[in-house]
Amino acid sequence: MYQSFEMRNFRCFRELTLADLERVNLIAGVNNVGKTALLEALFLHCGAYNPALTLRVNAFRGVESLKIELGRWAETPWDSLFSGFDTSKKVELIGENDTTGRRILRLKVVRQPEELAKIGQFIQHSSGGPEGVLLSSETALVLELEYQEDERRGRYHMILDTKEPRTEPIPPPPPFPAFFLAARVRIPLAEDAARFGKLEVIEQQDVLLRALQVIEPRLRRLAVVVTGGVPTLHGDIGLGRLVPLPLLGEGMARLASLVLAVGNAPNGVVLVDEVENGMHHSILPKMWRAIGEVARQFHTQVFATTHSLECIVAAHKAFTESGVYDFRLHRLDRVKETIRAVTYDQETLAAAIETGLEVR
Amino acid sequence: MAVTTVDVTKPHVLIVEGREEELFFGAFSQHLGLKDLQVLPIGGKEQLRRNLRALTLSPRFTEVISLGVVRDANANPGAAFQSVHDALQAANLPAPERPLLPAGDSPRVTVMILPEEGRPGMLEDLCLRAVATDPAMLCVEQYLQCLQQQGLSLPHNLSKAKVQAFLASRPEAGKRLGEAAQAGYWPWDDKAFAQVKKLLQQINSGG
Repeated sequence: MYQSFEMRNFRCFRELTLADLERVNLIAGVNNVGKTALLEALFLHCGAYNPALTLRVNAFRGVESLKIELGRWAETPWDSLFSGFDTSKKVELIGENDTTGRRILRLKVVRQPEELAKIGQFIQHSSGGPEGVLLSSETALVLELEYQEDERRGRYHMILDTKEPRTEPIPPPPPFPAFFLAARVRIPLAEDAARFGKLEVIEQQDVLLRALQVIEPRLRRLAVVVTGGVPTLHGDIGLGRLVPLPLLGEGMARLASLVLAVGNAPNGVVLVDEVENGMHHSILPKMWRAIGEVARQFHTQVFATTHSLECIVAAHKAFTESGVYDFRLHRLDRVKETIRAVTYDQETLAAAIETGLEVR
Repeated sequence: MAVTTVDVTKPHVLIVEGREEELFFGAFSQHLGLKDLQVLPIGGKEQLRRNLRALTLSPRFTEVISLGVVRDANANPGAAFQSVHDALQAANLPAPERPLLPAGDSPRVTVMILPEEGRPGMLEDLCLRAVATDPAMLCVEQYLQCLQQQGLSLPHNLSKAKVQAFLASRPEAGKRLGEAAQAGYWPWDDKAFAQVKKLLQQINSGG
């Protein structure tokens, strides 16, 4: 579980420190203050060694296509990750995690011919291939990810050239699972079904049933049914037949994706953009209770963003009533040219809500 | 779930206890033409410590230039000031050494204990001093004497009772202290309000 997270030169952030992190963290703030960018930075940090995740975060925002122009001064697909599109400074992501310790990630776009040549030699050496690997700014775009964990250091390179996009050397798997639930992109039905299957394997499928009964008390049973070749979660609500979960409502599908992600990320991290999407306000306290319970059960840490005061109040109420206040509200504020994080603990959030002070 | 919020919107903020104080000081600052002063009710003395901390976390609080805190002395003006002082310190805000003496720069903080330095009492006492020469006050005193003569026990909070009796003499009876301020029933230019007036102007000017 992350205790703190810092970043420099990432997206809209020149610098940001987020401390006092809890099991469940809700990120608030006005539009364009960097809530989604914060989740993206955390996602990259969770990935630990994999520079290819940089392309995934753009896809979360709907930037799916990858246009590659080669040349020393060509724009790269990574430019938007750098504060002010200034790739002359490195992106730095620093996380303190109670299981993996302190990890620093640095991202830089490699443009200098000498550095590219070195990387080419390094790839040739590490792959043991007889052919020389020629990298130049005219033939390839390269993003370097440098990591540092205590005394251990390493570098991985995402290479975009005339071949398939690739990472050299092949990075190891991340130290813990992490999932990103984007605001506008629904998790594919087959992916949710697969995650449900994994819960079934460890006989924890009732976790999802209990969570969804919060919204739909008639729900008796869940099952995966392959329809049109796509495995899809279905629910039994006493109609004499199973109903595909998405047909039971947007809230059901969204909460299912959320709980399945949390349940499939034991000791890991789930990042949720605009968590209240698709949820009626009356459901929100129950949604938070369900998220809190599943997150505790699977030791998963949750970071979610919101614009909704009702969502914040509901979370505060749910975690207060649960008796375990493992929740923090963090608001991103733009102060002149910088963005800072303000964190509310249980007492200050209770005070702000009771006195009607703005917290978003 | 009814959810309403109060936002910090002005560079000069006066913190008061409740709705009546908000209306009273809001009306007074409006009378004085202080457009950059925002009056914020953040609860009574029991909640001041935690509510001040919550206020400092509010969006745009970093833009606040000057902050005033007004509190009733009640029975013990010294203890009232000390509790405000401690709450300011707990919220990492500048804590003045004594009432009406500003402290710090970011924001500049001034504390006023009502009705006036060193005296027990409350906002109602200040208002009663301002209307002490109003003919209606003679009737108010006579009314209370009458109650005693009838063998009836007087209300616990005599100042509040006197304010209510006084306000019953105004054209639109039934208003509370704050509403009366909005209706213009308190004589803002009376010398009893001079110190409050000075405080509001001082906060509004950044000091």
